[in-house]
Amino acid sequence: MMESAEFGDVWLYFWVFLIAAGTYLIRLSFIYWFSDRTPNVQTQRVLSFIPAAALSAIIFPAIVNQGGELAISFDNHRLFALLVALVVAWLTKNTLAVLGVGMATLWVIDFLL
Amino acid sequence: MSFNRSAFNRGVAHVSPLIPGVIPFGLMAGAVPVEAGVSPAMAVFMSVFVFAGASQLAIVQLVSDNASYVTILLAALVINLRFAMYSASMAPHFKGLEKPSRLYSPYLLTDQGFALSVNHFNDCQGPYYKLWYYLGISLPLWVLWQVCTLTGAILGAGIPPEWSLDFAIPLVFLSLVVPAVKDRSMLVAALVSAVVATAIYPVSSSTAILAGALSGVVSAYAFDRIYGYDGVC
Repeated sequence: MMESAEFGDVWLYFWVFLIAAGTYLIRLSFIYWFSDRTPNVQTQRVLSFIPAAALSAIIFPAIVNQGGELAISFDNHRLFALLVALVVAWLTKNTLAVLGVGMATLWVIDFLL
Repeated sequence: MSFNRSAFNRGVAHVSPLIPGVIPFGLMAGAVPVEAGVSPAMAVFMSVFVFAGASQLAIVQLVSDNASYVTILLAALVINLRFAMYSASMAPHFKGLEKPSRLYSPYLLTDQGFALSVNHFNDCQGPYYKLWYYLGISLPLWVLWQVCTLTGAILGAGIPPEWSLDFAIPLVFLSLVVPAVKDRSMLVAALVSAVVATAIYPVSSSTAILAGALSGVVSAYAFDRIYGYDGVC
């Protein structure tokens, strides 16, 4: 159960299938089962926090921590490129622009330094 | 169940402008996993069964980090919990449909399908008009997603590691988070989550995501209670 995941592992199919089943049940939830029970405003509000919180928790740790320790400096190319992309995301709200500028920034810094 | 061509065509017309934004995301969903070491078959398997890009990319990143399977399961489902919100918004519109339609249509539920549908629906439309409008959005997106994933998975094998394609994962997430932060409480959710997850990550990368997300949601809720939330999104 608690063993760590690996790409070559056949069990990965099993776990991805569980994720797929769970995701389907979440999508099904109100449309199929509870069509009479719309969640109240408080519950909807709490649900609305989840995307921002969950995605932030995935974005930052792996980039801010490099080699097992905090790496907040210009030597951390990915952190710098991420901050540039953050500004672009805030200004444009455009996925393509964020991807393009973020990747290009990383390539340029990697090439120059 | 009978096909409502005009509703379907209207859905297709409304989703068309979003297609250029979906293509690169779909290519990523195929190329990034393959580049990270997943087989092309697994990349396609995820797109067909999970059919939710953000969680697919999260799975890839967490497997790269050697997180435990349980953590990956929980993290992916937490990311996809937003579909419960969408499902709740769609439910009143689909209430008049017979069971089979309410059983298969949620599989196709996406951010785009939800947003366009809820914007377009009004009280003058019947449930079958609404279903076919939603399918006019969702079916093209599904086909496009599968074609792009397959293409990305095939091309991904040829992309050299120096291109740092894995960096596309946090970038895509960033482009999803920033528009989602619509008020101060949302900002609290994102910031607290980022700080807590980053602090815990060196100790346990598996715990970091869930602890971060949970503390972000709790802090945002507390912020709402203290500073008030007027109910306007």
